[in-house]
Amino acid sequence: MKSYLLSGIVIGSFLLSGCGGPSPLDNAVVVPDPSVDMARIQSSGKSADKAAPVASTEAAMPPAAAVPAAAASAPAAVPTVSDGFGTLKGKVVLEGGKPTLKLLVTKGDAGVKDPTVCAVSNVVNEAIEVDDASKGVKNVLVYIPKPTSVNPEAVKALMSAKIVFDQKNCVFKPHVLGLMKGQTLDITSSDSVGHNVNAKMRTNGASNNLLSPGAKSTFVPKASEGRPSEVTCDIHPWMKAYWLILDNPYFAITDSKGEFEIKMVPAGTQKVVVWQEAVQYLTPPVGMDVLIAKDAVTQQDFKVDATKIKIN
Amino acid sequence: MPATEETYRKTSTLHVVFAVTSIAFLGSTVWMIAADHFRPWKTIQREFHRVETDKLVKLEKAKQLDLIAKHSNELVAVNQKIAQANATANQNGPAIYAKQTEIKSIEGQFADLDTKKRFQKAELDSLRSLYDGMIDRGDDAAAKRYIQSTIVPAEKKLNGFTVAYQSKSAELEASKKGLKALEGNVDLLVKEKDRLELEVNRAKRVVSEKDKVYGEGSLANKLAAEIRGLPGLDLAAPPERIQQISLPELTINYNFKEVPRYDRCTTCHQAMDKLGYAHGDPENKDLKPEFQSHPQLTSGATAIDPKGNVVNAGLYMDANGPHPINKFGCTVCHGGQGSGTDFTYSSHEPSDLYEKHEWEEKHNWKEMHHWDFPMLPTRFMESSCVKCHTQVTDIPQASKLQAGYNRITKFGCTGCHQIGGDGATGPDMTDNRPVGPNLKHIAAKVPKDWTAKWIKAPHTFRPDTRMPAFYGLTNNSAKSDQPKNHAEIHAITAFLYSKSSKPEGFQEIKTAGNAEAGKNLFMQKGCVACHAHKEFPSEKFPKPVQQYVAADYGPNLSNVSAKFPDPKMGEGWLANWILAPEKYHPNTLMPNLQLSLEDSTNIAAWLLTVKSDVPKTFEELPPVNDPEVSKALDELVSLYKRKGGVTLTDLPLTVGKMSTDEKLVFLGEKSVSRLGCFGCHSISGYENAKPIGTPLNNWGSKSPTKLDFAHITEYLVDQVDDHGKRDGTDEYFSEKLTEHTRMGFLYQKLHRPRSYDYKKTNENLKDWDDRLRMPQFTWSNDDKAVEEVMTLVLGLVEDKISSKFLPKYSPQKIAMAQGRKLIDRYNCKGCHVLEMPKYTIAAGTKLSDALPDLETNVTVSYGARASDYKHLIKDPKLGFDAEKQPTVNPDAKAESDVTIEGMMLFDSTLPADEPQTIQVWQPVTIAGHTFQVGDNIAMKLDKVKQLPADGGDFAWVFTAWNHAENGIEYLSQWNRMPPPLLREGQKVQTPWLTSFLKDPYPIRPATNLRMPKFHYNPKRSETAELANYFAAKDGTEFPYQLIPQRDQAYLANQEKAHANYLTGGWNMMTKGACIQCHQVGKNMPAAGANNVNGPNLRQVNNRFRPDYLEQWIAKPTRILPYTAMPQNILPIGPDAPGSPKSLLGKSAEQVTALRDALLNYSTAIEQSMIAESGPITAPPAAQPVAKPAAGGE
Repeated sequence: MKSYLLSGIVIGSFLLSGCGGPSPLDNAVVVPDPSVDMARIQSSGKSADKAAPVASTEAAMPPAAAVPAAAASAPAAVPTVSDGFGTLKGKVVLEGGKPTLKLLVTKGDAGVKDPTVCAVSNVVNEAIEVDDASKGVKNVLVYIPKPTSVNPEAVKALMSAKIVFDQKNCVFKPHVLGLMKGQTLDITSSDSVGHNVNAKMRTNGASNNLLSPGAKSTFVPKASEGRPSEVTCDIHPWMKAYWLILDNPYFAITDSKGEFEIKMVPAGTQKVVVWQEAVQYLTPPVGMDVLIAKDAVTQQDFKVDATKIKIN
Repeated sequence: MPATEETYRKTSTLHVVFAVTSIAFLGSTVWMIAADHFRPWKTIQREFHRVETDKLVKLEKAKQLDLIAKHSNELVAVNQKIAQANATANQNGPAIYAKQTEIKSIEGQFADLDTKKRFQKAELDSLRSLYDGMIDRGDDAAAKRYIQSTIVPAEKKLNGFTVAYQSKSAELEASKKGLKALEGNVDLLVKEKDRLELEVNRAKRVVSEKDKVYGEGSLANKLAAEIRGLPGLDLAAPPERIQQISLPELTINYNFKEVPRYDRCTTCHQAMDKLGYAHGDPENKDLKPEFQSHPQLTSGATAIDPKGNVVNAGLYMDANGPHPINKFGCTVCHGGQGSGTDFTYSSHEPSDLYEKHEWEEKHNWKEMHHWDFPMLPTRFMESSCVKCHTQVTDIPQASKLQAGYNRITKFGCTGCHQIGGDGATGPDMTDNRPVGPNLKHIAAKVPKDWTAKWIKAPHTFRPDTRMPAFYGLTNNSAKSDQPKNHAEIHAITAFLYSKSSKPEGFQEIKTAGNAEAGKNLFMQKGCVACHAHKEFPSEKFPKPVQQYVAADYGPNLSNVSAKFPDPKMGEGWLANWILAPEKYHPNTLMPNLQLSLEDSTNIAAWLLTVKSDVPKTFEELPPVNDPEVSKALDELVSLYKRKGGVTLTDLPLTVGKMSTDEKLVFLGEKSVSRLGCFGCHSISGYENAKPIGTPLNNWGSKSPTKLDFAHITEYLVDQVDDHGKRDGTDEYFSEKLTEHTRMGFLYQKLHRPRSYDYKKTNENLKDWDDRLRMPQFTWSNDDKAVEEVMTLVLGLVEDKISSKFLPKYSPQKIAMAQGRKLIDRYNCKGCHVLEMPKYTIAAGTKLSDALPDLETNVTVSYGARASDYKHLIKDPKLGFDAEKQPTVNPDAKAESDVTIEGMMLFDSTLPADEPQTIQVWQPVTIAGHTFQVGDNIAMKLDKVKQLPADGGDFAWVFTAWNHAENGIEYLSQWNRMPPPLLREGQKVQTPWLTSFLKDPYPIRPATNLRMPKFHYNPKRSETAELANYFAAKDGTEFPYQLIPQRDQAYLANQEKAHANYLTGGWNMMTKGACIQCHQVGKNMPAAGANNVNGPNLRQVNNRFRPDYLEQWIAKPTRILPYTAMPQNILPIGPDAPGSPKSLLGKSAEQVTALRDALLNYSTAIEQSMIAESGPITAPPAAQPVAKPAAGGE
C-alpha cells in the first residue's frame, strides 16, 4: 500500500518535470522516458534484477564512487552526440599532517547503543579519510552546480545506475553520495536494529522516517539542493552521511586515492565546486572557473589544507 | 399759563441724537449678527460642506461608473425588457382593460362572499352559545334536538360560503397573474433594475438629502438654505450648527464639582468618524488636517460580528470598536476644553515648535493658562490610556507607554517614588523589586576603594549601568563641593562595609578555573542572553543574527575584572555567584543556571582574564586623611549632629571625641538615609525604610503652582546656547519650562534633576543635606527615553472613571497582560522564541521574484502531505490526492500582503542574490496552496520585508555561531537549544508548567544548557501566571484541564473495542521504536542510560495536552520542524511493533493507543505487569532487549 503510494508520488514528480518548468536548465536536461522509469520504479521495491546491467554488478558494493564510474562506462557503448564536450579529471590531496581521528565506536564496547549490532567492529570517523601513500582524500565532492549545457547522454548514463543507501552495523554506506533530480535512491537497512534516516534537505524538505530492521524505502528528489545535505541517524548519533542532489549529472566523489573524473562536461569555462566534510568548501561556494577542453581530458587538482580541518 | 412749545432739550438736536444712536444700534446689531454668522466654526463647516458634497458627487459618479463597468450588459438587457414589456402592454390595451374590469367584478364578488362568511360565522357562534346554555341547564334532550335542527344546517351554510370564498380567491389570483402577463410582467423587471442600481440610487439619495441641508444642487435648495441660514432666523434648522456629544457619566471636574462632559470637537472635526476621509488614502492627500478622519477609525481592533466571526474594527470612534464616539467622546482621552468652539479656547496643544508657530500664524493660537486639562500634545497622547487601562501591559499597542513602564521598572524609579498602592488609580507598581544588588555582604565581593570609585562615577565604569549618578551633578560639582562629596562617599562606603556580613553557603574554590573552557561556556550556557561582553560583539556573528546580539538585561561584563583586583578573591566570589546567585542576593533577577561548580569556576576564571578598559577618569578619591576631606568630614558630622539636637556649645566636644571611623560610619548612615540607597539596594537596618521620593500617584493632575520651578529660567539662560539647546534641554521643553507647565517641569527633573537648585547651593541659603537629591540616570540626555517615562507619569491622574467605562476583559486577556509583564521581568525572550521572524511579500509583487522556486516548493510541500494524518488536521484545504498535481502560477502577483512566519536556515556560503530557505512555522497560503508547519520555501530576501523574531536571542546567536565556528547544522543544533515557545499553550498542561517553572528538572538528556531556576516573588504565584499566559495566548483552557483520556468510561469503551488496550499501547512503546531513544520504565536503549537521548516517557502524562501529544506522535515535524524525533508510524505503512491485534493495519488508532498509554502511564504499567505475571502471556525473556520485533515488518 505504502509503496504504491510512494510510487504514485514518484510518477507524479516525473510527469511534472517532464512537462518542463520555465528554467533554461530544465530544457537542457533530457528526462528519460517516463514509461520506462515507471516500470523500473514499480519493481524497485522488490529487487534490483530489472535495473540496468551496469548496475547489477554494483548492487553489492557502495555505489557512491561508482556513479562517476557508471558515467564513465557509458560513452563506450554510445557514440558521442555532441563534439562540444570534454572530461574533467583530477585528484584531491591533503597538504599538511594527517589528522588523527578518534574511533566513533570501539569494537566490543558494551557501552554504546545496540552493541550487538553496532560494536561488532570499529566504527571509524569518516569526516576525512586520507590515503597514506598518495595523500589522496576520499569522499570529496566535486561538482558543477550550473553547467552551461547538459549532455543528454551523460544524463542517460547516470540515470541507468542504481543507487543504494544502506545502514550496516550502524554505519551509513556510502558515506557520501550524489544524486540527480528524479533519480531513485533505494534506502535499505541491513541491520537488525531500527534506524532513522534524518535527511536535513532544504529544497526537498526535511525527511525523517523510522527505518525498521530490514525495511526498504525509496526516495526520489524533486529538486536540486545546491549544497550537500547532512544525513543523520538520531538513534545512533555518530552515524552521519552526506547527500548531494543536483539537477545535472556533473558530479563525482573521490575514490580512496583522492581521484575523480567527470565525463561529457560541456567544453568551455565551468564553475567547479569542491567540498569536503571536515573543511567544507575548498573552492568558493559558487565555484571556481575551470576551462574544459573540448574532446580532451582537463586535469585539475585540489588541495585540502590540514590546518582548516574541523572535527566535531 | 399757556402751554409752551418749548422743550427742555432742543428737539432737532434730539432727533439727531436719536438718529445717530439708532444707526449705531442698528450697526452694532448688524455687526453682532455678522460676527455670529462668521464665527470660525461656521466658516469651517461651510468649507466642509463643500468638501463633502464634492466627495459625494464623486462617489455617485464612481458608483455609476462601477455599475456600468460591472452590470452594463444586464442593465441594457433589463431596460430593453422593460421597453418590450411596455410595448406588449400597449398592444394588449383592450385585453388589459377587459382584464381589469374582470378583476374589479371578481373583487366585488369576493368582498361580498367575505362579508357573508363573517356574518355566518358570527351567527353560528351565537347559536352555539344558546346550545351551551341548554347544556348548562341540563336540558340535554333539547340540546340534542337543537344541534340537529339548527346548528348543523348553520355549519353547512358556513362551509358553503368558505368553499366559495376560497375558489373566488383563487380566481382573483389567477386573474391578477393574467393581468401581469398582459402587462409583460413589468413590475418584476423594475425590481431587477432597482437591485442593479441600488448602490447608485443610495448614493443619489444621500447627495440629494445633503444638498437639501447644505443648500446645494438646485436653486430651490439654495434659497431654502439661505433663508434658514439667515442671521436671526438660523435658530430653526440652519445648515451650520454646533455638534455636541453629551457624556453625562464621563464627568469633568469643574472646581470641585463633577459635571457632565460636553464635547463639541466634531463641530469642526466633521469627518472624524466618517469613512472616506482617511489621511493615508491618496485621494485625500490635499485634505486639511481638520477634515481628516481619526487615524484608527477602521483599524487597530477587532470585533465579533452577529455571525460570530472576528472582524476588523476601529480602535477609536467606531461603533463596533472598543471606544465608540458616542460613548467616550473626545476630551476624556485627548484633554482640552470640550465645550470650546474656538481654536484657542478649546485648548489645543502643539506637539512641537514648528506646529506651535504655524498655529500662532494661522489660528492666532495662545497657550490657555486657565484650563486645568490642556489637550495632550501628540507626543504624549498615550498618557491618557492609563486612566482606564491602569495595568498598562494590557494595551501593547501603546508602545511609548509600554516603553515608559518598562523603563520605570528596569531603572527602579519605584524604589524612591511610590506608584500605585492604596487608593491610587494608576498601575500598581508597589511590588516591583528593588533593582540594585544586595549590599549586605558587599565586603565579600569587591574592595572598598572600588566601591568608593563606583559611587562617585558609576557611568564612567559602565556607561549603561542602571545605577544613576549622585555626584558630579549641577548642584554638587563646584570645586568647593568636592571635599564634602569625597567625605560623604568615604562615609557611605565605610558604613556599608561596617554592616556587611559573610554570605552563607559559599563554597571554597579548590581548583583554579580554566579560562579557555570558560569562554566557551559563557557562550554555550547562555550568558550572552542577558549580558553583553566586548569579546562577543555583534560583528563577530553572521549578518542575519547580529540584530539579536543586543543583550542589556544584565550588566555588561566587559570590564568586570576591574572590580576584582585580587583574582583569587574575585574568582571565589564570581564562581559562587554564578553557581548560586541567590546565596548572595535572594531576590536577584539572575537565575540559578544549574551549573556545576567546575563550569562556574571556569566562567569566572575567563571573565577575570579579560583585561578591562575602564577609562582613566575612573580614579581614586583623595584619602580620608586628606586635610580638606577630613575638614569636610568634620563639617558634615557637625551639621548632622547639630540637626540631631546637639547644641552649638557642645558640638566641638561631641565631634572632637569621635574617631575618624566613628565619624565615617555616623555620616555614612545619615547619607544613606538622605540619598535613599535602600530604595534599590538591600542594606542591613533599612529593611522597612520608607522610600524617599515624592509619590507619583496623581502627579499628572498636580497643579503647576505646587511645583517649585526655582531659578530654572535663569539656569537655562546661563547655559551656553548649543543650537537652541541649553545644557541639552530640548527647545520645546525649554519653552514649556518657561511657561511653567507640568510637562516642562517633569522633563527637566529627568534631564537635569538637580538644576532646580541653581543659585541655591550657597550654604547660607540651603544646608548640604537640604539640597536636591534626585540622581541623574544614564539616559538623561536621551530625549526619547525621557519622554517614555514622562508618558507614563503624565498619565497618573486622579480622574475617577466610572466602572462602566473601564475595560471589561476576558480572563484570557488579563492572563496575557499579567504574563507579558513577567516575560519581560524574567527576560524569557533572551532564550525562547515567542514568535518566529516574519517575511512579508508586499501586495503586487510578482511571486516568482520573491519566491523563485515556488513551483518546486509547492510540489514538495504537497508531496509531504502524503504522510500526514488528515483527521488530525482541522483545515479541509489540506487534503491530499496522489493523482492531483497542485498547479501554481508563479507569474501571478501577490493579491494582498503575504506574511511567512518561519525560521531561516541561513546559508552563509550563498551569494547575496541567491534565495535562502525559510522553514515555515505557521501555516500560510500562497497562490492557493497552503504550506504547513515544516515545509520549506526558498525566498529572495531583498524582495521581502523582514521582521525579526520576537525573542530567542540566545538561540539565534548560538546556532549561527556554532554553525560558523564548528560547522554544526542549524537543524541539528536547534534540538539542543531552549525550545521556541510557539504553541506552548497547546502543548503543556498548565499545572505542569506552573510547577516546572518553580523547579525545572532536566527533560531532554542532550541540551546545551538547562532551564534556569528563577527567583520568583514569593508573595505572588508568578509561575502560575506565566503558565496561564501561554494557555491564554494560544486560546486554550486554563488553569486546569480535564484529560478525558483518563476517564474510566473512555478507557472502558476503548478496552471494549480493543482488548488489552493500554497494555497494547505499553507494548508498542517497550517493544517498538520508542525505547531506541527514550526510557520507558525499566526499558531503555540497550547498553543503558548513557544512550538515552530522548526525554523519559514517565514525564509525559502530566506534561502534555492530549491533542498536541497525538499530533506529536503522528508527525513530529508538523509541530517542531527541526526535531530529531522520526515519524514512527506512517499513516499508510507497516504496523507499529507490539500493536494489539485489533489495531493491526490501523495506523491512526495505533497513534491514539500510544497516546492513551502515555497519558495513563501508571495504569498501563500496572496492567502490563499483571499481564506479564499472568499464566497466559509469553515468558518475559524477550522483553527489554532492543531488538524490536525483527519480524515486525
